[in-house]
Amino acid sequence: MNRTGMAATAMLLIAATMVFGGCGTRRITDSPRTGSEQLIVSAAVDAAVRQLDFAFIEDRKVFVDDTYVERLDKSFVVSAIRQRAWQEGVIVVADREEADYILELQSGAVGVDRNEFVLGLPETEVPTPGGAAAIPEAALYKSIRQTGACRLSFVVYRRDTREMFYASGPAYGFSDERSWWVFGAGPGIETNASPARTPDNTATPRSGPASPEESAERPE
Amino acid sequence: MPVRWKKLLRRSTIALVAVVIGLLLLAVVVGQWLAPLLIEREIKKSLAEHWDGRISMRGVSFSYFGPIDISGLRLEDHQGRPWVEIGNLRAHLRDWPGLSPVIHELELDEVRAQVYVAANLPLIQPETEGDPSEFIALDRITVHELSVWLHHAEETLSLGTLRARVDIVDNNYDFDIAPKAGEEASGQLRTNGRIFGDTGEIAARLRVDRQVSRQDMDFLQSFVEGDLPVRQAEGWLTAQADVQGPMKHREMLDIVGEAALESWSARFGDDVLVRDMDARLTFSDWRFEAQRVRMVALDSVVTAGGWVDLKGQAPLYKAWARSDDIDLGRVGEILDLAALSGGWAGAEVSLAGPAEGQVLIEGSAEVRAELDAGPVRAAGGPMSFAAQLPLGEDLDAAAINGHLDLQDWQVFDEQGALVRRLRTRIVLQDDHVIVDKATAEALGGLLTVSGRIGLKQARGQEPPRFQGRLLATDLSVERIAPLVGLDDSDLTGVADFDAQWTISRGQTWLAEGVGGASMVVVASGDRHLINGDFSVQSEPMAEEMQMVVALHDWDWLRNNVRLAVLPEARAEVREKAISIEHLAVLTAGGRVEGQADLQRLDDGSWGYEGQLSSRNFDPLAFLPPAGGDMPLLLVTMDGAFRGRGGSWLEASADGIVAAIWPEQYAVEAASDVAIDFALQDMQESDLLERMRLIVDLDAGQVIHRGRPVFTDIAARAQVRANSIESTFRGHGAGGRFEGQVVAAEEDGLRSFSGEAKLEEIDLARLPMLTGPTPWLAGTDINSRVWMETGKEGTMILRGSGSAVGTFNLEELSHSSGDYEFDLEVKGLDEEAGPEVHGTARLANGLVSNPRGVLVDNLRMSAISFGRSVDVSSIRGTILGGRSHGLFRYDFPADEPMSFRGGINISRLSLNRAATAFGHTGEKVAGNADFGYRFSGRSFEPEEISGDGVLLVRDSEMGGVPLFQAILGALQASEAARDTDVDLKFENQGPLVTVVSGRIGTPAVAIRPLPGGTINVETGELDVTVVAAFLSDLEELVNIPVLELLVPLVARLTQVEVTGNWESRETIQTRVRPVTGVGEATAEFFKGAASTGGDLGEALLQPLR
Repeated sequence: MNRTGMAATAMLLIAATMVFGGCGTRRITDSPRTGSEQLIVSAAVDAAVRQLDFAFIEDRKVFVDDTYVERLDKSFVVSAIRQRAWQEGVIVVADREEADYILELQSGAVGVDRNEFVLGLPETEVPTPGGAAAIPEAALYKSIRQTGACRLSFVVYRRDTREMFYASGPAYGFSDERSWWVFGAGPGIETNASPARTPDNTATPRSGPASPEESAERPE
Repeated sequence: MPVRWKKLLRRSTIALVAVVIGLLLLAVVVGQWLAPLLIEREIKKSLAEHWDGRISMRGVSFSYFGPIDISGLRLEDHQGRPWVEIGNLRAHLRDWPGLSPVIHELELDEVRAQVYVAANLPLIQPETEGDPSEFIALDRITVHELSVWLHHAEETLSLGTLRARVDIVDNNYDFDIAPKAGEEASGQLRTNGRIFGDTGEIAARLRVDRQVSRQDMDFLQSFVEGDLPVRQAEGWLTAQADVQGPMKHREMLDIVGEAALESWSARFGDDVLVRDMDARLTFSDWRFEAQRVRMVALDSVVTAGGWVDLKGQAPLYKAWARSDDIDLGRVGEILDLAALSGGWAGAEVSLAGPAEGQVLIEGSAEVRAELDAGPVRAAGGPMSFAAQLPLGEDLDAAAINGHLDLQDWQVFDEQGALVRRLRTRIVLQDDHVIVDKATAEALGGLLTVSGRIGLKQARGQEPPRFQGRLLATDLSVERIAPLVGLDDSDLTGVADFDAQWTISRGQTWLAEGVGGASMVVVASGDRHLINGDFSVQSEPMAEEMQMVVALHDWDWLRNNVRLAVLPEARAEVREKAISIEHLAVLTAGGRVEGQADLQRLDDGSWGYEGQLSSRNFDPLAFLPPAGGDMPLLLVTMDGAFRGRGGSWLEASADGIVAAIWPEQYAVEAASDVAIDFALQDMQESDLLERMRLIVDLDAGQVIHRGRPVFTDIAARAQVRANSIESTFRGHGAGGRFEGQVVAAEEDGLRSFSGEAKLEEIDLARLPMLTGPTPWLAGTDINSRVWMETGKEGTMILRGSGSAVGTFNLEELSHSSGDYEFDLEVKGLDEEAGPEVHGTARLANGLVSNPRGVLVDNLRMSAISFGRSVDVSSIRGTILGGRSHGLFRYDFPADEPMSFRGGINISRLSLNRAATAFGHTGEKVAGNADFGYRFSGRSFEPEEISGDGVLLVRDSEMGGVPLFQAILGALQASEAARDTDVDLKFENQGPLVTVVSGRIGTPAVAIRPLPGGTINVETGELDVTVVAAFLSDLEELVNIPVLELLVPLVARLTQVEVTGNWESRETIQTRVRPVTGVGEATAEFFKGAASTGGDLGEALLQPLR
């Protein structure tokens, strides 16, 4: 190929690049609270709810009063209580006037504690004439332990006379998740707040009766 | 020809012509007028010699050269009825024209003979046979068309159109009568033969081939007076008979014939009873015989036969019939016997005998019929009979001998056979009807009936006298009970009955019967024996009917114990009056007597009045024994009643009713009682609306062991339309009571409502209600209770009041409280038991024992949800501590009961507790908090499980034997002050197991090891503790726990404690070295050492 041909080829490539070339962007956002945090909290709530005793109000019409629950994840807390009550045979009604008893829900704590351990140089701000300068963290080993804690209780009183019938006493629930890094590599995660993920990206523990299809596949 | 000759010829001619003309005129006159008149006169004259009636003819046609025609000959009787009408009679003359003409042949055409059967033939019998007419010498009579009509009553029968010919040769008459040509097919009468004029004999053959029609039967029926059951009969008759012999001597006639009946049917009423009847009949030698008679009668095939021998002076005969499939239901329909509902029968019956004298009837039958007599039906079996009946005599006066045998007949209802194997022979002999031992299995037993009736007596020829006997043995009471309306009874047993009776006539009819009955009945496990005699004497046909029924010496024993005796009862029954007297029932220690008179009033109703009186009569004695709870009821009353049929009834009685309960209750109750009862318009419905019943009790009292318990009892019960209202009041049990009860029924639903008021009732004075209660010192109950039952087994119960109880118990001396309840009980009539809905409340409860108040200000609230009850908010002050508890009780219909509960007591004073339980001299101080939850499926202590905590702070445990033993083993007996105890435990029944625990004093720290047990029922304990002196631990306070384990072990002491926790002397301790401790134990001892034995408040807060 002579030089003229090479030049023509180059021009053609440039023109093609200009015509077909370009750039792209993708907007990436984060939720206000991490999924891990919410899992830790909900696991602690579940653990606490499991310890509550509903035996005294089994088969009774009960209205769940959550007026005094102003906590993180209130909706989940209240729903978990109602679900547990249903499972224990309580007839949870939506109308207060329909109830024999009022179950007043109490939530002493719903939150996450964080403990961090760094072996190495933590991130440090060094004052300089031009202002503070941050020295990034240089950790040989680092772990962060998050503990979900929940304290729940309830008191039951008669709707008609407002006389107290039963107090559950406090039920405590906890969950833990530990994340760790070695030489900046990680995190490795140990948690009891959620089950292990399976290859098909699920981690749902089975509960309730199997579907007919599953029953058919199950060997005798 | 000369003129004269001419004249003569002319004159002769004229004369001849004149003569001829004259002769012709004469002939004409004779032939046209004279001869017919003479002939008509001659014929009428001749007929008048034989015919007693009017003879007329329309005209006679005379011919000089042919036969004489007579038209319109008509013979009538004096009533004007035509017997013979001959359209045309042609008489042929012989020797005519001549001087002595003779009629030798007659031809008759269009002859109509009408025979009036009921009337005598109007013929005149000549006194002597005259000379035969010279004018008539017949040698042939021919009837071309002869129609014969028979008349009887309103019926007319035509024998059809015939032709007849009689040839008279040598004084012999050859006759031939046959249907007219062209009408043979319709079937007619045909006969031919010869009558020998010289000898008077006949030789003839008669043939009949005729369809007998309804018209024929109507004609024949006209000969029978009254209604024949046979409404119609039709069929085909073919018969042939040869007759030979002298006609004047019937018995010398030789008649041989045979006949066949085909397709005959006879209709009785509106139903065909006989159809398809075929028969072959023969007659020979004066013997008539029917063979191969077959017919369908009442849809059943019947074969029959018979013969009649006519040779003798009295004919002999025998006839029989047989059928194997008689449809008795069809017979029932035809005979309109509704009772004969169906079935089949095979029967054979025969009649035999001379036409005069005795007729023998014999027969047998196999009956499979159902005779429907209302609810009871009868089915037949084999039967046979034979009887000789006199002929020509009045059966009412004739002597009849015979018998009727029945075998295996049965009577049954819907449930099955009532009577089986009925066998009997009924004999008619010597003017008696004798039933000799008719036996049958009935009602599980055997019935035997025998009787004898004289026919002469029955006919009134002798004074009537009937005798009979009915003997029943081993009848089953189970089978008898449903017949008298006891369908669902559990009665068993056997009954015997024997009765003999005589019915005779003296001045009037008299029926007398005597007998006895005995019955053993087992009911509800009790054996009842009832027996006695009876007699009946009746004059049913007397001017005024009279009957006397008497019972004698009746006994009623239950389990061989005599309940009652009826020595005598007598009732005299007349048409217009019944009188009952001598009615007395004796019971153990008591009796009832009565008398009543009934009078039939003008309007046909009965008026009655009477008295009843009782002395210490116990009606409850007749009820089945009900253990020892049945009172002895003594009724001593005098009463009277009167009324009128179904119109009204009034009764009143007064006296004393007393009830004595068995010795174990030792209760007697008595009251003056007055009863006033009236009922109006009894024939109307809704009797209750017209009934008045008032029962008053006054001055009643209840006595227990000789002491009055309730006095001044007064009550009134009034029955009104669909309701009963009663009020009551009285004193007793230290207080008063009053109330009212209303029971009502509306639309078939019963309801009750009422209220009661109790004031100052002391249950301790009612031992007959509460039983022996030595632990109960007294009560003071003031209460109002209101109750009402509603629909579908519901009851509303409301009440309030207060109750105070005092007790003779060391642990409990007083309890009191105020209560109220508002409950609705549902499902009272359901098998699963009732449900309770509502609330109840207790307030101001107080429980104490002789040493102090145990519980104060106790209140609780309960709510019931049907089969589940919550007792909530159980609050009070227990030994100085505040308590709160709850309790739930479930009693579902299809599951065992269960309960669960819990109680928390805070700051319970140990000192008060020790004092309350009698440990007054011991060193006990401090407060305790106690929490306990429990559950169970039985209230047995062994079935209750639970768990709890016991927290004690700042106590003095020196008085607690267990604590004394442990400290004694540690040689630290003075270390019981300022003791804190935390103990978690669980229990299964009375066995309490330590889950964890810790005890701290200023000097000693003690940790009970898990697994230790205490039996709170027996006091047995088996506990192991690890303890240390705090002074030995002070140097270890600052050592980390992990390093503390080894040095701590050397400072600890393990004490094993066994024995009874209530007795220090029984408690054994054994000290052992500690081989190792856990981290939690180390933490406890370290903490105790750091706080000086104070366990702190951390565990108390949640409990409080």
